[in-house]
Amino acid sequence: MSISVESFSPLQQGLKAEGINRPSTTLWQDAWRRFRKNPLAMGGLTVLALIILFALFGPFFSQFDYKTNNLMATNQYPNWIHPFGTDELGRDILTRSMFGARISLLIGFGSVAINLTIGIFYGGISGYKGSWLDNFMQRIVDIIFSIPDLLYVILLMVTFGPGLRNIFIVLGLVNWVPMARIVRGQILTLREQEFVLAARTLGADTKRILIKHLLPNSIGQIIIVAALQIPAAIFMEAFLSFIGLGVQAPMVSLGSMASDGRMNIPSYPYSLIFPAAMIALLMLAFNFVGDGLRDAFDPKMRK
Amino acid sequence: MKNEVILEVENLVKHFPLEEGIFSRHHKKVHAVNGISFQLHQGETLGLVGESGCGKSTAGRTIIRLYEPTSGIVKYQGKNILSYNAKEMLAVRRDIQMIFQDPYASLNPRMTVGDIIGEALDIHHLARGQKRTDRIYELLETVGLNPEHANRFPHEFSGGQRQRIGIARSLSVNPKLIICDEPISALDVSIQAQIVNMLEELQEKLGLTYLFIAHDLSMVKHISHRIAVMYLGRIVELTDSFTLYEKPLHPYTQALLSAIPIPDPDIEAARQRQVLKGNVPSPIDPPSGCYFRTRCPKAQEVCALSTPELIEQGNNHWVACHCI
Amino acid sequence: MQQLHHLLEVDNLSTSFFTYAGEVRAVSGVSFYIDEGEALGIVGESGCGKSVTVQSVMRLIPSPPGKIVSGQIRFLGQDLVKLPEKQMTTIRGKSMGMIFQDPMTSLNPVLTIGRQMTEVLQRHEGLGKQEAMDRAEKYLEMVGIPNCKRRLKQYPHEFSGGMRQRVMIAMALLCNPKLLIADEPTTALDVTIQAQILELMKDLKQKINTSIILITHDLGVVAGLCSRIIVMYGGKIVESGTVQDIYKSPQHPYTWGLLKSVPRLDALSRTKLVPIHGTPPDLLKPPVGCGFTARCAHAMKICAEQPPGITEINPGHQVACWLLHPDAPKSTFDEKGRVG
Repeated sequence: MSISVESFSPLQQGLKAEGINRPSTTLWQDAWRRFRKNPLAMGGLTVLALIILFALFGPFFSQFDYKTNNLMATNQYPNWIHPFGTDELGRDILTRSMFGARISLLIGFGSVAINLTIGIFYGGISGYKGSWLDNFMQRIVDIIFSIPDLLYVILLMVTFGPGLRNIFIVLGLVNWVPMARIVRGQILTLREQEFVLAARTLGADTKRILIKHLLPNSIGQIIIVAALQIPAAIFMEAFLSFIGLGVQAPMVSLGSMASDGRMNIPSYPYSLIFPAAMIALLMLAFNFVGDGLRDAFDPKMRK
Repeated sequence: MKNEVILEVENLVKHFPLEEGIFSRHHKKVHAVNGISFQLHQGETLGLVGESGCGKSTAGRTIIRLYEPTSGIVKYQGKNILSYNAKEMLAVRRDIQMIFQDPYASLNPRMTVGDIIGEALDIHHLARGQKRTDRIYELLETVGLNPEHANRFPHEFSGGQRQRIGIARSLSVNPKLIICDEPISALDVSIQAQIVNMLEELQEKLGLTYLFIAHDLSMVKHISHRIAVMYLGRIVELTDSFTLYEKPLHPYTQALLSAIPIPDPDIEAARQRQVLKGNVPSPIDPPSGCYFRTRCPKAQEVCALSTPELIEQGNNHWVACHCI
Repeated sequence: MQQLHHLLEVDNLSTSFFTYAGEVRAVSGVSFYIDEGEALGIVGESGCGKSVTVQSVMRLIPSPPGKIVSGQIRFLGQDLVKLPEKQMTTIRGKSMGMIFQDPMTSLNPVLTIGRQMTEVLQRHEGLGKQEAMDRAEKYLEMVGIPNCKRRLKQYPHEFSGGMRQRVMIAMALLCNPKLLIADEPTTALDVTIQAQILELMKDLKQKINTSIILITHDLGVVAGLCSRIIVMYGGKIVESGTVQDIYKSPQHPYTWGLLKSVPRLDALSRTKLVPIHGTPPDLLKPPVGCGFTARCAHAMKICAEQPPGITEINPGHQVACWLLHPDAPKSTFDEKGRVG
């Protein structure tokens, strides 16, 4: 093998040989890449999307509504006109399921939005300020935490009275506690990180440090908790409606439908089966998505 | 060639209380910094060396008030900044900046490099809009990075590049004094030299003063004009860097110098290494008298009884030892 | 000098990690050997493949994504690459010992030191409980741990960093391994503790005649302990030779860079350091020619086009660099630039 002498002339190269070869990936892209690879999570997401579409747009394609009685068509078994059948007042169960799913989803997302707000605020302040304030705030959390959720919810519902608005308030009042704990834990570990110290030496105030540095870095954990709290809230609402403390007729939720259907199990099982199946499907889908999100955001998996 | 004193630390003490239980009333504390005093002159580099747990980082962080000191005085340009309120302190933060140790933890992973460097510009309302962008580009170029990288996230950079981003961030407010908290110990050797050279060039160009905290004595000796050696929260020896190497007086400094390996097989083979026995005592419960006496080859009775003062042994060579 | 059988002989080893972004060629075509009773240093920066090399030897590469792509690892007459995992486990415990940078991760926090040490002995040597305890005690004493009887009953967290590393060394030596691999054993320790551990290893090398592979990024650490040194860069060996070769007449620009970029404690005046510019290559897309080209002050056209062959300067001193080609301009290591 011969090499020309020319090859040994100096290589002209710029000193700044500091390109970045790899494509830019943000946290979201990274998480999405992992999430996509998880078949259960993707399945859950698909089912969830279908249920949301079903709940949002389904009623526009239905000739029935959820509250008008039709005594000519009571207790029909599933058929071409009423694919899910009708209940004892002749209302189309399919349409009612759509409206019920709407309420359930609304409660799921809405109550989590409420507890996110309270939880982030409370946990953020408690974690960042620390010392006696943290001690005090955490004791309050401990007290709320020591009361069984169910007891607490039922007591509050009885006090406030049933109804959609009160369900929001009560679920929000209960569920912010675990959220606040998670946020506080995240903030506690993050606040001693050097980038937070750096922001402090630059003169950043508490508000800026919380909003720009601490919360954005806790967002993964917050999303995971929220994703698992949504199904819990939906389930709680279904339970409340089931025992008669939830939404009031004629408004309908999946829980109240199941409650109505329960009376007729021997003769008309479908009136329980369909709403119950919807609840189960929602739960499963949310839980799979939640687990998928946890894996996708898990810092231990990050490289 | 003594320049004016820019920073003066007097008897700085920082103790961290340990876990205050509701029922137990015995107050255990970590004695991180136990009364250190030194002066920093305009334009010089003072090295602060010691092993892990000797309080050197805590000292740096207390000076810049990331931790509130237990007692002591920190005078910046003649005024005690420990008595400043938040607003007055904000002005000081434009003059005193810090570079951190861990290039992976010191940059917010959710912010772009441009926003990281530009953060101080926002806080102090120094530049907005196009001016802000220009300033960020200028700072990136100062530290040898490509301005196009302003939109990238920190995790896309290597350790050395990240450390340079950290330097650019601290330079954004045009500081006079930079506390370098082990800025190179997390980096590879070939990259360390890049950072050290950059710090030296910036010092020359901008007239910066450094407090250079590190555990690597050979690097500290290289970059510093004077060196303070710390052991368990106290300064045991303070002098200019060549005297420290040529004529170390404190037994701890001698042991520290002897422990550093030299990349030369002949010297290594010929060297009689003075190996210290045992470990650094716990700062929760430090020994009485001289903290070093438990490992000191020259320890005497007096060392357990009283704490040696930092005394000048001629020509600005300060040592805290009973045995001299 | 050539021995017929080396204790360990690695031949053309390549190890890759298959990530979502593609194949990361962590080690490509590495060959070296170590003889009985010898101490070999592997030097290089993080990401140069030095740890992956010895992890391949120990067969400790996490798989997936890691995989030994090609090559042979001959140890005591066996090719470790082809060995089934079960036999490998015996070799790992008995004939090879390993010390890691962070001893805390390799000690089980919920078992006492004594339990962990005797377990190894009972499994690999078939010793009885009391015998194993005695042997463990003897080894703890050997690595300089006072009150070993009491110490055996303690948990890892009750030991300081330096003490933990001593325990790790004792554990690695328990079954009298032929080969001790130390992966940055002192990097996490303070200098005074590092000096203690290095003294201990020097001492042990003489006492028990184990071969040692010491991995480090600190050229100072290997200077006192090892007789031969391998310099790695970008997954390849760029220079290998005796300590005298490497420190006194280094031939590869990367070795020059390593030597010049660290300040020496014995330097007489304040001189500027000579850094190696730029950053190491991304092994996801390794450069076509020599991996060091982009950072090399002496780079030639050929460097970017073809990987350099290996030139043997004198027996045992091998360099992979185009500068040693007869047609190349002469560049030498300038000692003055460093000491001044």
